[in-house]
Amino acid sequence: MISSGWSLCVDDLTKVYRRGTVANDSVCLRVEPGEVYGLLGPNGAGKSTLVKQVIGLLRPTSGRITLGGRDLVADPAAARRLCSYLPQAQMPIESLRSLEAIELTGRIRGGGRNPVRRRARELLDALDLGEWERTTGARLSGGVRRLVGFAMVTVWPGRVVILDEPTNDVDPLRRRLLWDEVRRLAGDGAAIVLVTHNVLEAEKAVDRLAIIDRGRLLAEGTPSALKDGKDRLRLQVMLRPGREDPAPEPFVLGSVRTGHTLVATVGSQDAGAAIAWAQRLVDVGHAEEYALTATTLEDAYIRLTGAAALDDPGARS
Amino acid sequence: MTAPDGTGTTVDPTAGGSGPGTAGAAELRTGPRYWVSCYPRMVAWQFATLRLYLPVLAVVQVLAGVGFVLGIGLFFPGEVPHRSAVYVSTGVPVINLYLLGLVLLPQVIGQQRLAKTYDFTQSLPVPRSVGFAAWYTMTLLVGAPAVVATLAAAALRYDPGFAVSLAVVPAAALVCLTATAVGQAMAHAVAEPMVVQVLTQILNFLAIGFAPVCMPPEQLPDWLVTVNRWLPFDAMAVVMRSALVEQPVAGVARACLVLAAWTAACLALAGWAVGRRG
Repeated sequence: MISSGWSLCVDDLTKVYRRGTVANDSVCLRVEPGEVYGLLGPNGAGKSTLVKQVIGLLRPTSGRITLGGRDLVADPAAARRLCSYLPQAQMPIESLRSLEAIELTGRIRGGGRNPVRRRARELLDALDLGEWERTTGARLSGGVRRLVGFAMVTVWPGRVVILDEPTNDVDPLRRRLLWDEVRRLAGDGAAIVLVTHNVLEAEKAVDRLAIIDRGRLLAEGTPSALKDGKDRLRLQVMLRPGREDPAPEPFVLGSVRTGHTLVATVGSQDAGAAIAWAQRLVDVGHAEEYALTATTLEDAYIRLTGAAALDDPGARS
Repeated sequence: MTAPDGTGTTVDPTAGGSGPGTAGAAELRTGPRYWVSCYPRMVAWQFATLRLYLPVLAVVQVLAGVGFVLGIGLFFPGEVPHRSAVYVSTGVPVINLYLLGLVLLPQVIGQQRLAKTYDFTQSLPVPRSVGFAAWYTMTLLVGAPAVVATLAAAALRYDPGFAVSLAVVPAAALVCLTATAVGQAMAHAVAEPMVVQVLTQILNFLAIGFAPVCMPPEQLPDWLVTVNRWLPFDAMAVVMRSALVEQPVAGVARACLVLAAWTAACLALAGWAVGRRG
């Protein structure tokens, strides 16, 4: 971490919409400069509501948001200047050429003409967008347009850079370039908030993350810490179509079924028993195949958000 | 560059050549100089984002204004009475600016809401007043050719005895300002684009058909004339007419006050709508 002077602190934040929907419920988190922080959660979890409060577009019902000692709730104009925001939707650049769009937003964000121009060119090169620098947004593919949006937001970034699903539609090669650029931004001292529901991407890209669902922060930590632990394994069983869940075994610590796939968490000391059980399911024709691997962040994510759904089954349609 | 909050954090925006420099955007300058520095950048942004649309809109405005002026003449079986000619000739430019201010911004904001780009635009780090000023500038510049063309067509068709003075510039600017403010208030205060569209249609209908803008007030019932004294349409027409004809026009000062009041109220409503952050 570079400095703690510009930490983004969200303290006991609650947002209740006028119709009574609780979008955020006593959320607390802290993002340090130089850190890539993931906000992970399913659709409707309250992630976008949270970041809109950070950038001053929504007023919290209660709680505090501070950045570098400034109260962003009381001073939304400061929030807009201190935070750069890449929304989930595409940027309104139909009639702007790529380079022009990047330079214009850099200038609006307070950058000088020459430094912004230099930085815009660096970004175009870094993201391999040079061939589209004079192409208008209306003619860009979704992925390239997304990358141009990323460059618009980061050409002259704020202390906090909020990226809402930045890799949507982006091809795998340029995704890597984008993540490299995110790392460089963090290295230069920005606090990066990455909003996503892509668990695999989050696991690779973030330093720490929070799993949020139905407005509540369910867990927070490094991707390693949030996994189910070193003493646990993931047993994935592909069931034959139409088959019910097999009877639970005592060594299964938890399971979630998605389609025909049953994902179970088992203790590492029970690996042998788990393999024998899964093989038996295959032998009797209940399952097609199985795999026993280390636990992933996805397991923790499904366990946490799935458990939350079971706690309150009527809450999600 | 030193962090503006006195934390002592020091970051050079251009340090290292390739570093993005997070402090560069984190400046928290305020005041008139900051406002002035933001204004041309936002004007450039507004023009650039609507570059494909504005030339078409400007042409449509010219055609609408000229067509309206010529078309109204067909309502009269013979020679158009001089008084009616004056009202048509001075009223249609008002309709021109009024429609542009009232319709353009709500339409664009509505599209932004539907395309979900509204949040990005609102998150741009400039004072809200700069955004409005940039929008007003664009509306005025797009509307100016239509006003000139409309006046020229009216002069040729009706010969209303124009005595155009420099006062037409502030008059048109004031009319456009009020119209833009009304559009701004509706665009931000009403979240549903379809409702905004219906509202603008109703206001257009009222301005064109039920206000003494293109017709003398004696053609309207007394109660409607009274109502119009407190609405902006009549006031806009009075201000514009006073700058275009030789004969003295009554109630100019009052009209200016009415427009100032509407402008202030609508900007206050727009400011509240944007600031409520609900």
